[in-house]
Amino acid sequence: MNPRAWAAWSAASLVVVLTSTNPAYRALVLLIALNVLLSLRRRDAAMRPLLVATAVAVVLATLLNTVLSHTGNHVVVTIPSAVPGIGGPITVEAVVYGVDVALGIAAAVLSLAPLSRVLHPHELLDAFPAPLQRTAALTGSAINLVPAVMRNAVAISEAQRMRGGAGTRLRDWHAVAAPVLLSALDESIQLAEAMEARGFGSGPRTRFATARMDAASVLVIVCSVAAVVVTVVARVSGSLPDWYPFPSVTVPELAVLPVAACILLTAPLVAWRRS
Amino acid sequence: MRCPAFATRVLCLGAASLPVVAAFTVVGVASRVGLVSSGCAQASSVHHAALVVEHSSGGVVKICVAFTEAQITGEQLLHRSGVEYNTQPFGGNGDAVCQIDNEPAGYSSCFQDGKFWAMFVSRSDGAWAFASQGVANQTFGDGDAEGFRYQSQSDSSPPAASPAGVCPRPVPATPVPVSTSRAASARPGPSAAATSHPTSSTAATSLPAAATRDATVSAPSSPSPGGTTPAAVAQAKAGGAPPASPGSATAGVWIAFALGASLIALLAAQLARQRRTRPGR
Repeated sequence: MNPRAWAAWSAASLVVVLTSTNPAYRALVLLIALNVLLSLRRRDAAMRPLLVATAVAVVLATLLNTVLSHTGNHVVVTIPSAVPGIGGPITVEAVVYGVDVALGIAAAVLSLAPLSRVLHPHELLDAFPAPLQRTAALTGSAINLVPAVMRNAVAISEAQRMRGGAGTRLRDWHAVAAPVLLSALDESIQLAEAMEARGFGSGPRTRFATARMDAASVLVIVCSVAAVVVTVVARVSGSLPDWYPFPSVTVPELAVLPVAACILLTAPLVAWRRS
Repeated sequence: MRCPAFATRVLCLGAASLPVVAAFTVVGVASRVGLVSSGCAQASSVHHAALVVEHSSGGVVKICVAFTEAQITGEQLLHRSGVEYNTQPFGGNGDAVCQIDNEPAGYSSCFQDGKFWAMFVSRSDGAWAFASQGVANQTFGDGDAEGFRYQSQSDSSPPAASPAGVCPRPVPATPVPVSTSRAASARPGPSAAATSHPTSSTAATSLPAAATRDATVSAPSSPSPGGTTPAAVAQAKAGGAPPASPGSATAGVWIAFALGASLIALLAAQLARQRRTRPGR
């Protein structure tokens, strides 16, 4: 599928997730994103780190909201007010709202995950419009620099320890910092030479293979745009209000329009099944 | 195109989806603005809804508000009652009603000293129930009542005062006078962190906290602008549009339930398939 179709789908999913605090819609988008990732991810793309990081964020959001928000009618337990920061009543409403926030975080993260778990990095760069190609390449290189420096730091540190040099303590890292900096500079020069050798900045680019805008991509783009339109209309017309569990938990209301927007977001699954 | 026949079908589906989306939009908007269920005949009739404010001292203010619309929001009801009230933005969560009838006398937040204005709803003189929506979204029709009680956050008790008898029954056939100018002047627009909603003219006199008063306040013909939220927290909704029709909400629940169940089943099927195809099995 065309990277631009994935970008449109991710953007539409984010719009649905972030437009309202209704947990039902967030849960639906989360389920859709999980299905999309499991169906369409690259074979070499690992899901476990992404899911673990998302789970950590979910747990943290729930816990933090539970202990920091003391609003709500149904008190479960009261932490003595002498405890700084978290002292006060722990309420059911705070837990529920924490889960709602966590659902939003998980849905937003997994909505963007196809850009890294389904697409290859070079496909994403190719998806940028021509005027932004150079900016995209430079941004990608800069972002890629961080994990490269980390890998170098680990490798140099291990090499130093094998020679009986630097240990793992913080003060030992000065012996690692200089080689890491030098290797980073060296690699940046190599990267610049490689890019120049490939004609970076010399004029319009040619591609070995261009991303096709096939029928499935068109379907996903059309459905994504429609989902955004439906969500905005629902919000403006009032059928997509925010939901808050305070002062007492209530069942969130569901309307046809936002659910229709969620249905439109299942387009990648339909396109994948049919193509 | 790898599969021309499929491509043609998909393009047709995409083109066909636009009218469907447009139909969803039109139906949704129509149900929101009441084009389907409400007609001009309803606009000419007069309805009444009660406002009951219970202070922490136990004093109760009861006011009957007349209106010509089929439904008005809690914000409009509060405003048209003439009772003094204040709202305050509550971060990204909209506004909160911080002060009604000068209680509390001063405040820095809407949850001053762990107390707040809780909002309740009574339908057709029935029992009080916690409002499920904000003051700008909760709607009230003929015979309904809006209740506010200044209470602690751990207290969920409804107002002791019954909403029954506040408004006359049956509904009078003659329309009450409409004072549009009063509505325009009584409700200043939100311009500062705290939004004040003082009463005006005859209704501007501060209502004694311990008093119980029955009064019929004339209904402005134009809806009040802007929007605040419920006693606790809710998103401000401009215009205070009435909620979706019950049929629409029920359909939304069923469609969402079906979609969620389908997605969970698909997820389970994919996990099972991946487990079967995992190397070493």
